[in-house]
Amino acid sequence: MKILIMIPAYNEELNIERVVNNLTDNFPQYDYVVINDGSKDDTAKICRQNGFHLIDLPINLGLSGAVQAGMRYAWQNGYDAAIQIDGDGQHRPEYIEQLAKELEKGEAQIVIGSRFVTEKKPRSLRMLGSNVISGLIRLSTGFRLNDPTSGMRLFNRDVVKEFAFNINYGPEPDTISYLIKKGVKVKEVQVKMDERIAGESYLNLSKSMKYMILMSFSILFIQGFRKR
Amino acid sequence: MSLYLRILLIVMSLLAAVYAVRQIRKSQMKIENAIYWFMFILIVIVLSVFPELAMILARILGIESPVNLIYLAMIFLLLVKVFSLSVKISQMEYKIGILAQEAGIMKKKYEEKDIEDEKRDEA
Repeated sequence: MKILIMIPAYNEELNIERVVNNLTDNFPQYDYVVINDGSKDDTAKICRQNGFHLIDLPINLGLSGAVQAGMRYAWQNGYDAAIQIDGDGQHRPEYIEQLAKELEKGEAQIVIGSRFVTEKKPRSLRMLGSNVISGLIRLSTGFRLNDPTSGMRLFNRDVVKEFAFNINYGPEPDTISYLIKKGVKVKEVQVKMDERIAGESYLNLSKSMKYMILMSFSILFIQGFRKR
Repeated sequence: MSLYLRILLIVMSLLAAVYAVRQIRKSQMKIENAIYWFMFILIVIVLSVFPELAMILARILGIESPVNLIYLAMIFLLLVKVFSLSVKISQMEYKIGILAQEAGIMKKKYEEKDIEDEKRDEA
């Protein structure tokens, strides 16, 4: 299976070199592409100096736009599957093999690297949000998704195409909820994730609140009306 | 608030909601942009179904008629939206400009490369 690793990066100059070098040194069997989402820092420059595979977006599109660029690239270049790995190095590439095995069985079209299949969710504000989204997805689809906010999702080619060419296909839990509702099969595989080592997280409190409101509203009231 | 006005507000809100949902179904609208309108519609419906709420709020703010409160709220919400749209348009104009510039620069690079290739072929 030909897998593309998509690494969306916004202002990740402190992390990107470590993340990509880890991939090229230890996991050369996978292709990767960094999608620089109009970073204000030297992310693109560092990628060029190191000769990394880079899609350099001239403007900032936001995460969903950056991932969509990666999906388009994956589709156009004939990849069988694509996985998103965050530019801050939270997601460990050693789990890709397990995810890919699960996808190859053909029972699921999306395989999610989940922190909470066998492990318990710790109690924190962030995990409260995760629980709320889990609950809403359960309510709306009947499916138990333990780690809805995990960004480490492996998509097969059919789903990649859908992401690449449609509006309202952000790499977020509401899209996953919608796809589950429309009959796409999702599987979760237990993975470990690292804490962000350097740089700043995208989510602060007000953004998190906005995110929660958007996701809740979207999963509960809007996704049910969409047609595929 | 008269009963007729309440019914009118509710009917119009529901129509607006149906219209918004259709836009999403037809892939014409981003969900994050639609949410504002759903919230707007929700507020209008709640105030029409429970006019006591509008009355209490109006009394607190010293507005004589609850219907005026609804007008005021709508104008306020619309003004906020228009302003934020104005900001957004400015950002988009700027971004389109950058895209055009980048496309132009890239085109030039390709054309230069074509000319070089031709020269090499001739030589």
